[in-house]
Amino acid sequence: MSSALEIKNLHAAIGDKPILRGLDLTVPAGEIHAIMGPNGTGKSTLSYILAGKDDYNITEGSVTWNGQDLLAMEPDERAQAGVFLAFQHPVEIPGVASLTFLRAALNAQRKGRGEAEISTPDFMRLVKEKAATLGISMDMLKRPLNVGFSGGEKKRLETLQMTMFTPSLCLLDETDSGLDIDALRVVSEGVNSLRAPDRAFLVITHYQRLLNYIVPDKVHVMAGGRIVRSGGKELALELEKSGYAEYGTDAA
Amino acid sequence: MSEDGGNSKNMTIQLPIRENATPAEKQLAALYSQNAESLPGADVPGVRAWRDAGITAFAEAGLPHRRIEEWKYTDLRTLLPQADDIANDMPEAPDFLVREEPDVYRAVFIGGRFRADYSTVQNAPGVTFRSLREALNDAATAAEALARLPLAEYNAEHDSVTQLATAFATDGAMLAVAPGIKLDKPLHLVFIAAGTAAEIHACRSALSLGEGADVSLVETHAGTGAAQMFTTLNLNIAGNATLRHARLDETPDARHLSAVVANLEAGAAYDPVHIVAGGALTRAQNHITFNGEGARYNFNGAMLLKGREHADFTQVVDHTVPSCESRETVKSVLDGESRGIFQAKVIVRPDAQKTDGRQLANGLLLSETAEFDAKPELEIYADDVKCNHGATSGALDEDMLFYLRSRGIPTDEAKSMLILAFVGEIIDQIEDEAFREILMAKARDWLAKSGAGHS
Repeated sequence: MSSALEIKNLHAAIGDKPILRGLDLTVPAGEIHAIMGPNGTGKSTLSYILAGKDDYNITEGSVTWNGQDLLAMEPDERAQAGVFLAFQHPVEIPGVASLTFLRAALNAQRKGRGEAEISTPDFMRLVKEKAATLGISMDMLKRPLNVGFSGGEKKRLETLQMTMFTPSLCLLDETDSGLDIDALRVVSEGVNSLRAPDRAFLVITHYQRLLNYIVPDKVHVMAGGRIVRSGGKELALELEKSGYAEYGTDAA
Repeated sequence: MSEDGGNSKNMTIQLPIRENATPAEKQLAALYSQNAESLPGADVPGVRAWRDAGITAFAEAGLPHRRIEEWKYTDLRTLLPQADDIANDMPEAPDFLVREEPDVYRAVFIGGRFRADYSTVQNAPGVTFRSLREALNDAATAAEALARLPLAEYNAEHDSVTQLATAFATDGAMLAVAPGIKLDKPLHLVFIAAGTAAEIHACRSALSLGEGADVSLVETHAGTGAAQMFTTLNLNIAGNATLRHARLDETPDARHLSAVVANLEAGAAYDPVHIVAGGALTRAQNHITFNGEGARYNFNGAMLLKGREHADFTQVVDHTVPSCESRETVKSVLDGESRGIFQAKVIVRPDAQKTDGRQLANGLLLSETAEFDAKPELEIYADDVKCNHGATSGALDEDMLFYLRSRGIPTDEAKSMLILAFVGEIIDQIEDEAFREILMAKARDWLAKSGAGHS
């Protein structure tokens, strides 16, 4: 069985308004693919649909990950099966300490896979090790999840989750937005450390900048709710020069 | 059980019962007439007049109803359709009282009676304690006790809680903490609704803190009895004294009407945290008066309600002097057809410049049929003041839920996390760590039992 994310003829709408119009995409395990495109073309919608947000009507098409029908699974089941979305805008959750959240999430994923809960010492060791490489202090992790965090801190915390949960399908939605150059480097190093033959990445970005740090195997251009062009990493540089004018600026 | 010598047997009072009195009003008046002679202190001068004043005021005004502003959302004419009998027997102590030995100075009341056999409050250093029953039965102490338990309250005419607690008082805790005392352990007042019969429990308590005293008070109302509870607590907090007051109401089948009346002198602090974890009908009214400058009041309240439960926090905070600070924060978790109410009236008198008052109410509605009513009220007669209020009400945040689920956390667990986080912000205000842990466990327990929010 091929290890890959396979999206076939995906159509999706918000209410009556179509956003995705027959999107086809295959990302094999071991590769990093980037999706670029103008604003409002449905890039973030795609990432939410893959993670299981139920604000969308999926009218046609299929999505499988390692042969499993993702669209038939609940968001928590997808996470347990290895899907991880690094949010463009991580949600603030007052009253839930980041550390408490990390442990609950890790254990929920383990439980979903039939594994035992992680012990407290093992958990603390894991958090401390991964947090240190991302420049996250333990004080920050005692604070409520994302509450009052800067844009950079939020993205670091998303990356910390990715390195702790070791998902097999990583979806990065505009991870570079709101990052200064230092944070961008730290976050990219975190992502690159996860590159592995059994892991696939889909990196959504508006700008080429991120792809200097996370070098993709393939670049796809999305416009009008579909992939309209695919190529190697050099395509990103070309887009940086020419812009998205020829692809239109709106999905409609 | 008559405690008098028979010489006052014929002093039957003629009660001015209002026209169209409800069945409960008539029953309560009749109950009083039948039992007044056997209540504590019946043959001690002054006691009977004190009770009579309570029942007379009640008979004249009747139960409060929705057109009385302080009772807008808790209409006792419909919510209290009938009165229960007065508790007579001495029920057994529930298991947990015997088992549990928290590190506190405890005064236990079961079925509205003080139980010395379960209490340790007598050992608290610098604290004098007497049960109200004992104080009222003794001519040498009754007058002083009565002086500490006045009938007058804000809008006293319609204060059924204090009126009925006074008329039917069977007991209560009379506590005084000497100046400068910093208690090493909390004082713990335990009120148990025990037994199976529907019955009235009425307790009036008073606690005075001397200058500079520093005390943690824990108050719990527990038990599965279907009691009608009337409880009041009169607080006098002297200059620069501090009172932290953590309270848990967990009486699922009881109708509990309670009042706290607090007077704060200069530099005093009163910090109550009040959690209602279920109750058929709960009314908790606080009437706070600042008598000295630089005093502060910080109320944090949470309710966890389901089914057809009804809880009402109503507060009146009276700033009579300058430079005092008041805070009222309430969070309500409401499931089923429950109803949560938070009313807060802040009065800023002409002299009370530099008043700082804030109110915040948040309702978390777990069902379509639950209801949260928040009514802030500012009555400001001074010009240099900072006062504001805010209220929100809504379901669990869908974006937060999705975020947690996208990390592998199943829906029910994610909802529980968010509900606990919501009330946790109130529980976190409790300074005493042991009691804070107990309350967090209660909240988790409530969620597990109620299955609140579980689809």
